[in-house]
Amino acid sequence: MKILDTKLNLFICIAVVSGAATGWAQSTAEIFSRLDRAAPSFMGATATLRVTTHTAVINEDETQTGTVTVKRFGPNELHFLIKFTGENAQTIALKGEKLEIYYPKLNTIREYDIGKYKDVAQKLSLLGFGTPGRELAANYEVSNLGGDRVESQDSVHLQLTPKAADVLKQLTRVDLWISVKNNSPVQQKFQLPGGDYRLVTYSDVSVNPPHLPASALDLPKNAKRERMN
Amino acid sequence: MLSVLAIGIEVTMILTLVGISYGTLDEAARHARGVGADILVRPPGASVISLSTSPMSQEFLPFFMKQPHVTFATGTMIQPLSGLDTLTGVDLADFDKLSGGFRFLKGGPFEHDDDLIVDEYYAREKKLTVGSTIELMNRPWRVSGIFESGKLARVCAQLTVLQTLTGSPRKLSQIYLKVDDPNRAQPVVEGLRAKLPGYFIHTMEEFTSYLTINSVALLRNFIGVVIGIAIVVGFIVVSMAMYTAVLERTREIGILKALGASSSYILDLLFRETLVIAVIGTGLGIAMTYGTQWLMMHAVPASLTQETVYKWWPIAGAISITGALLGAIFPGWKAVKQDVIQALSYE
Repeated sequence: MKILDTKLNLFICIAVVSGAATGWAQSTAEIFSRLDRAAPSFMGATATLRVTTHTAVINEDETQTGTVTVKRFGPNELHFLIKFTGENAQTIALKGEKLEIYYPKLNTIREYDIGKYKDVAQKLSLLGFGTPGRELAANYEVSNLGGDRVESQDSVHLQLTPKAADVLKQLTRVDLWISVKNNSPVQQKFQLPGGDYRLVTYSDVSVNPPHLPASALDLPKNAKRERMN
Repeated sequence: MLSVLAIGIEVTMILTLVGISYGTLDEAARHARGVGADILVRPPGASVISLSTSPMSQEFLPFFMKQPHVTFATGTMIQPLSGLDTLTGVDLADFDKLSGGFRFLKGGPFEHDDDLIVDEYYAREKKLTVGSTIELMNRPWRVSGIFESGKLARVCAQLTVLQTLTGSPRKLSQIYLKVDDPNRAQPVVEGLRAKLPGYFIHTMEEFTSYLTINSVALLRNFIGVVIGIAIVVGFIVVSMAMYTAVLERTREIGILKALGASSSYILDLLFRETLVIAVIGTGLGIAMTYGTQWLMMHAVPASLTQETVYKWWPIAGAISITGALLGAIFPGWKAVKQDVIQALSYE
């Protein structure tokens, strides 16, 4: 019994000390309020990213690295360009309803009209980039898992469960770590049915960089374009 | 004569498009059966989360090989080309084990990274021989072999080459499994479905049975639209032809009415004439369908495969006759309503 009490006290001490140390731990309402205030001023961002795709049944992790550029073109219009480097070299650009994938070894751009999936693609891929707290509250059941340190960045860890049944079929949960410093995502973990997940980690994030022209999201002009649907 | 031809074209249009739809699906089923596999595995559908078509890792192959009763597993990568064409990445050594391999009519397997093998129909359509160069996916390829049609695909490249070019190393679009006893394929499928929820896992028999018009919504809608257009075309053509006929025969109709012919007698005459035109037009249309089939076979044997779908003959006939009879209603009404005195004095 005494041993148990000692362990319990120790746990409480650690929790208190860690809470004190992670001064960024905030209530969910405070986090939402902070995100609501930051969202209107979000105009764009650049970052490097690392994407780990885990396939549970074969216990395989595949990692892609690259850069991401996000730019706001309207109140609900965020465009982005993700450039993967290395052996998986590909560039993915989402511009409204048009998804473009550039294959550098073929110097070809394949264009897909994603139509009704535009909002889902934009909001999920860019979850945390200029996302107001009220939007998170509207679309997800949110659990606040407190302060955390990811990639040497202080962040708050939110666990989001989609409210929409059709999204829930594809995505059972999202873990989102939001930077305390600039309110941008530090990490997103998309938990898929069957135990698979996609972990996206951002570093060197620059929110509202001073020079971010619209051309930063352009794919090579000389590439051959193919419409896929 | 023109009405007969117009109805013939209408029937040809319906039967040709139905024939192409059936032909395309049956051709896909024939290629799938030609692989020699018992089970087909495809990844879950396109994901908005990964912004990809979720290709499967090649690491799935050893996983499948460990499953009970599975004796062999191999995968391919499929890349879309223009139209309905695709380029399939294949590991020839593995494919040989699965299906006995391609039977080459000319040339042979890949020798270099930029080599392609094509089936006889693709070679004929694109006028290719061994050593020819063709540009696909924005790069030149050399044809190293021409194989007998009916296995896997029409155009194949080396799997690793295609994976590298598309920045998808060790990725597969679909995986084929061979089991020790084909009768055990269904229980193996059920076991795999439990382990891989969301994946498309079917016996080849099941998969090919899905390749029907009714299961492909796009084709079903497409045929619906074509039939709709055909009815409208038939209606307009017959309506105009019969209207002209009624105008031309104003005096004759007037004489008939003066001799005591009833309205139903005049309508019966017009409708019988319309029916004869529609039936002859349908016959002509069916005959012309063999012409379009011959044309496709010689002009685009790899791109479009047209079948003769006999069960659609009466359907196409009924559609053309219905459209024609509908088109004859207004001219018939006009004929019945003609004033006898005015009709007799019509010049």
